[in-house]
Amino acid sequence: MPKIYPLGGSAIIFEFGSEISVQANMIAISLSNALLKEPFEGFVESVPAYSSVTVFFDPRLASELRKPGESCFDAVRSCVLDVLGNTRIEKAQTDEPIVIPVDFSPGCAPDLEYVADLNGIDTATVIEIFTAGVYRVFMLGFLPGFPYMASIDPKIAAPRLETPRETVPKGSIGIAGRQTGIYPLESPGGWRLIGKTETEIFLPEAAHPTLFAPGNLVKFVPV
Amino acid sequence: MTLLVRKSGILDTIQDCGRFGFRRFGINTCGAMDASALRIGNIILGNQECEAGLEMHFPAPVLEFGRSAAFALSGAEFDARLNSEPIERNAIHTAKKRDVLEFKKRISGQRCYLIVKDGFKLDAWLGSKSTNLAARVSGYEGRRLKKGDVLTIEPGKPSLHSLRASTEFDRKNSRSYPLRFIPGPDYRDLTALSMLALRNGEFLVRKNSNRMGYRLEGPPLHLLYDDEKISAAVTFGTIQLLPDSQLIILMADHQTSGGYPNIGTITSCDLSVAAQLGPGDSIKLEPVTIAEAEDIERLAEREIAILKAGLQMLGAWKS
Repeated sequence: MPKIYPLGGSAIIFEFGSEISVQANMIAISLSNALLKEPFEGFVESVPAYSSVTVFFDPRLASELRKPGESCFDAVRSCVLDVLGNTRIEKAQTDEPIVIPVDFSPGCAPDLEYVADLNGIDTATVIEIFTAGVYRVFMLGFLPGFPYMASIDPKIAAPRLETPRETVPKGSIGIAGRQTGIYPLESPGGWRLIGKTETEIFLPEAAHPTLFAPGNLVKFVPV
Repeated sequence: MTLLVRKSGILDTIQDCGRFGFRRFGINTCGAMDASALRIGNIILGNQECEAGLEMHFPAPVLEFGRSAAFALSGAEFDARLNSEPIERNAIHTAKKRDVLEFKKRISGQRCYLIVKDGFKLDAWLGSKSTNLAARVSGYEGRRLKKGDVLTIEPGKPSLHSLRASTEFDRKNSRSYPLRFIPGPDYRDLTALSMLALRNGEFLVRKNSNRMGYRLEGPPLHLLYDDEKISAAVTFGTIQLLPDSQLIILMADHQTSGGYPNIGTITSCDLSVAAQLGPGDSIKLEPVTIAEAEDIERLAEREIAILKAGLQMLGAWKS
């Protein structure tokens, strides 16, 4: 049974855990997909996050779902819980990861030395460990197409910057704790930068505007 | 057919009600800060309620009409002049070719909307014409207007008789504005003292407040527990507690997800009030129940529906 909270008057958060877990993430993604496939009256969109899914609705339309004396929140909550009850939780993806080529040279990786020093290893080892892993995209957020991926090896984990950089170059690979991500655009950012890719991950001209979707697997290779 | 930017304003962007359906890809919703004002302007002109308009801040642009067009202004009062003659908000005006629209002084509010009959001729991206400034896409070339830019207006019916919609939507100036919010997941984890401070305190809108969010300054607030939150969805109006113990209200250009404690989300209709506040203004935050919030929103929607029905009855346009 998820924890349920309103997010204003037009959205509800369904929380399946308070930590990063593949299990909770698969429930969130499965529920989100089920709602997208068979939307209820007034459904706008569902947004999976690490361990939750937030369901957005139009209260003027969702009003139709109400039983006498019920609020829109109650009606939508019941609706979503019904769908959850009837949803088979998808299995986590295990097939071929998306490969991202990365330039780890110093000009592209301003924090690589910091990460190495912090963990008492050299930069070549950081790269070796980082590229050995296969990472799961748990959610997209922060910027169009930005993938939140986990979990990197604790041997190369590093905290965010105290003060974010005003400008992070597009394509930068970042680390924050045991998460990793890729900046789809130039933007301010607080993650530790350990490399850079030329691969476009935000594709506004394409029919589908992002390279990644929640649940994808990703592998980084040095170029 | 066209609107020439003779002089650009500090931030003029094309915005409709927002881009919905793509939050799960990190694509933020953008859209008008004061959605009520945008909708009212569109209703007055007989447009689709969420047709894109030009959202202007002050200093606002100087615009020249390339041909005759019907337009309306809504939202903030910037002392608008058409060929130096003052013109009212919430009314239909007809500009002729070479007429110049400019804004002399910020009298009240922060965002003024220029709505034209049948809207601006622009391609939609993912179903919306709202400018996404972070991604530099959509609206007018994904950016604010610059001198020399030319907006194309859809060909519409230029001759509509003058109509002034008397609306009660102008908020009276008050010392501090109450914004009602529905408590969020972390509200109950506020310390007792912090909860009192939140409910009774006044919060100043700081200088570094903009379309992304309003940084507030007020009594420092603390939670009972210090644990790291994992990222989850947030929305327009979400109030977060930052590490410096101060609050931020996420506004129209907010990012789709956030990892800071979620204290609550302001009701949609009060967001239109918030949208017209700026640095130096003072607000109060008032928690309401879900049932209360739903009633508040229903009333606000009913007012807009009444306006729409009233104008339709006057037969100001053929729908």
